[in-house]
Amino acid sequence: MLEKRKIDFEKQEHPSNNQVLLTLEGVKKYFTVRDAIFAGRYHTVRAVDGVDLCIYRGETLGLVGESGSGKSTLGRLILRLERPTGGRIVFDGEDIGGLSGEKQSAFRRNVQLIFQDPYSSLNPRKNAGSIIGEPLKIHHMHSGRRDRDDEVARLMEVVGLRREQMGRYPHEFSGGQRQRIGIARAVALKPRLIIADEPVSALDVSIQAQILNLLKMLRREYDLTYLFITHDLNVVEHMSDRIAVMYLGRIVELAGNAALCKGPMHPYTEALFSAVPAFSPDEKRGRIILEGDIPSPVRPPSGCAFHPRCPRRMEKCVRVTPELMPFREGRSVACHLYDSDQ
Amino acid sequence: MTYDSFVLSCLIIGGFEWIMEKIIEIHDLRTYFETAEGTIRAVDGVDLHVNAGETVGIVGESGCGKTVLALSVMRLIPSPPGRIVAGRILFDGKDLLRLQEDDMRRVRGRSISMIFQEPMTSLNPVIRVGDQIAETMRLHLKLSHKEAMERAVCMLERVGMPSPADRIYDYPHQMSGGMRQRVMIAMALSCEPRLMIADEPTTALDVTIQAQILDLITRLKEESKNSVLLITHDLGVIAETAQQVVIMYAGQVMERCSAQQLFSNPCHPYSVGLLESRPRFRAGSGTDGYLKAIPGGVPGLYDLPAGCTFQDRCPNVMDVCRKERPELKEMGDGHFSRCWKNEK
Ligand SMILES: Nc1ncnc2c1ncn2[C@@H]1O[C@H](COP(=O)(O)OP(=O)(O)O)[C@@H](O)[C@H]1O
Ligand SMILES: Nc1ncnc2c1ncn2[C@@H]1O[C@H](COP(=O)(O)OP(=O)(O)O)[C@@H](O)[C@H]1O
Ligand SMILES: [Mg+2]
Ligand SMILES: [Mg+2]
Repeated sequence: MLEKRKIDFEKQEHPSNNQVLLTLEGVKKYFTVRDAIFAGRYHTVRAVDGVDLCIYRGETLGLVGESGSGKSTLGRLILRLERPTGGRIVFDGEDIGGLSGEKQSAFRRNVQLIFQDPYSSLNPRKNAGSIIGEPLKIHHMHSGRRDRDDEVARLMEVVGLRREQMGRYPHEFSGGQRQRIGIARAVALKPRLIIADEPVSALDVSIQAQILNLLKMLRREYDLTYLFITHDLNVVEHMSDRIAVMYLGRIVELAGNAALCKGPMHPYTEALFSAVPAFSPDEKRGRIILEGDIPSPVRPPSGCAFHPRCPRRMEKCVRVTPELMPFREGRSVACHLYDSDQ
Repeated sequence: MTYDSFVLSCLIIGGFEWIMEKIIEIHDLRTYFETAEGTIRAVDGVDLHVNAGETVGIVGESGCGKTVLALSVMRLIPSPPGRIVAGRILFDGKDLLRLQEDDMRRVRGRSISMIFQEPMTSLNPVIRVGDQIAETMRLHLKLSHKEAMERAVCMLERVGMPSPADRIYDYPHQMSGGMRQRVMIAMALSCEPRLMIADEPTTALDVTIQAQILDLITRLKEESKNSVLLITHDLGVIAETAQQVVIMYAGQVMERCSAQQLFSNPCHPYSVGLLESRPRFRAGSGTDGYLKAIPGGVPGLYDLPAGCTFQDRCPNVMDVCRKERPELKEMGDGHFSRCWKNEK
């Protein structure tokens, strides 16, 4: 099984280099939740249910899917904010499950998070300067007070804030500016991987574009790698080198940005893309309207989890769960339509 | 002109007039809030109308007064701190702002209904959804409980609720966001209103569910020949559904035109900025392209500058823009813009 995965990765389409930064191997995260009505009864939520994925150094990997598909949980697993129920996560050659001491501290510097909500993610009692400087303090970088203030001022300018604003508190900033504070804090330690979980979803349209531009600029300046999580397909297409599509805890399709957006292979990807509103009234196109809602991860459907909503469902889909298999041009898809015997 | 062609043109003009019948006209509407920071002019002189059978989209970023506009039409502004200080809202030949509260209650939910962004704020959590839909119809259409429940099932079926006869016994929290929004729509349409106001009805939903709901609103509008006032911050939603568009900024209308005109020939720099700042799906922009962002942020409504409210973010700002506020002026063909640049 491991052997097969290695082959898959090499075939996955990726940018010029092929240095792998992060690998997920069969990663699972199940939550146990209490029944809402019957005390003493428990359910298992399969938030992430067997994900194989790798992220290359310097790329932006977009992760899309409807709400509840497990995107945030996957991000939290990579950040070690959750322990996987199964599988392993390898960062720069090391299994992150077994890190300790200096290696653990290095990992914490190297992997950072940008939150969705610029309102609740910043400590309201700290000013912008101490919020941005906090990680520097914790990791003993720029340890002198003056030195640290200089670095914070520099970071603020990098993200488009003014150094005079250092003493202001979060509520004195607009949503877009707060998101800039969160970004400055995330890049302060010069991380190698940034998990951006819906970083622009809470922002106004005109501010979204500013933040997306900033994230792109930082990626170039700091040689960053992004896992860019979003439910907004316009945004993911604009930001990503490769895109992974998630449905009910699994990756159902993975491909280079252009290839995926021009010709989705999985019926779910196809329906998801066709649901994106038109860019202008002249570009209205036919839609594949999916029936019903995303099912509950407590009782995922048998076989392919997408089969109850799939317009191209076959008898086999109800019984057999399709694996994410490599296909031509290094793309992968988990769908029986592409089985070799079809 | 021959007699025949005269009759024909009368018919055409007559027909045209019928299509263009105005369902609702809003004139110089002003809704202000008194707060500790000062007076917030949330809606500050809005003019617009909705024609029969049309969907009018209201676009603007958060805080620009869209919801306050909708609540003013429904006369649901919390007072204090809010107050409708001026304006006329003509509906069915009457000025809604002059109706007694009793008469207004008959309009609300019956002739004009409203759907909110978050259905949980307007659904009662402890009443089964069937009873909630039925209640509206009993109140306005004087149906018996049994008749109303039967119609509630029909309504749920029309909005695409699976097994509606069972779902009427559900409580709102037992449903997904998309299903709750369907209940809201069923309730809003149950008395066949002539105008439906939908305030960001799909903002909290996933794209696949958004597509279902937008299709539903459009289909039901065509079936029942009512009009829709659709509030959104998403120009894609406008492109999909609206015939006319109103672009709002800081409580005022910046541009008003047909959806076609907005996308092919936007006039106000704010509209241009909004259109151009959007990432474009399937454009192959790749990862190197930057977006044309609008600099700065939405201004606070209590310390607006003299002159144009968009001046600090505008790429074509002139001296006059800092001194005097431009008026909303027609530039021909029903296309209105509030900008000194367009006055020449
Ligand atoms: N701490 C938790 N306890 C129980 N269930 C959880 C927890 N976190 C997430 N879930 C569940 O896991 C599923 C995936 O959630 P999430 O990763 O947040 O999805 P997404 O970010 O794609 O919207 C959801 O059904 C959610 O309710
Ligand atoms: N109850 C209220 N009290 C004070 N100010 C309010 C109240 N409701 C709305 N406002 C103000 O009115 C302005 C417009 O709000 P709103 O119509 O909700 O914006 P939108 O719906 O366009 O996001 C905002 O600045 C808001 O703070
Ligand atoms: Mg999430
Ligand atoms: Mg609103």
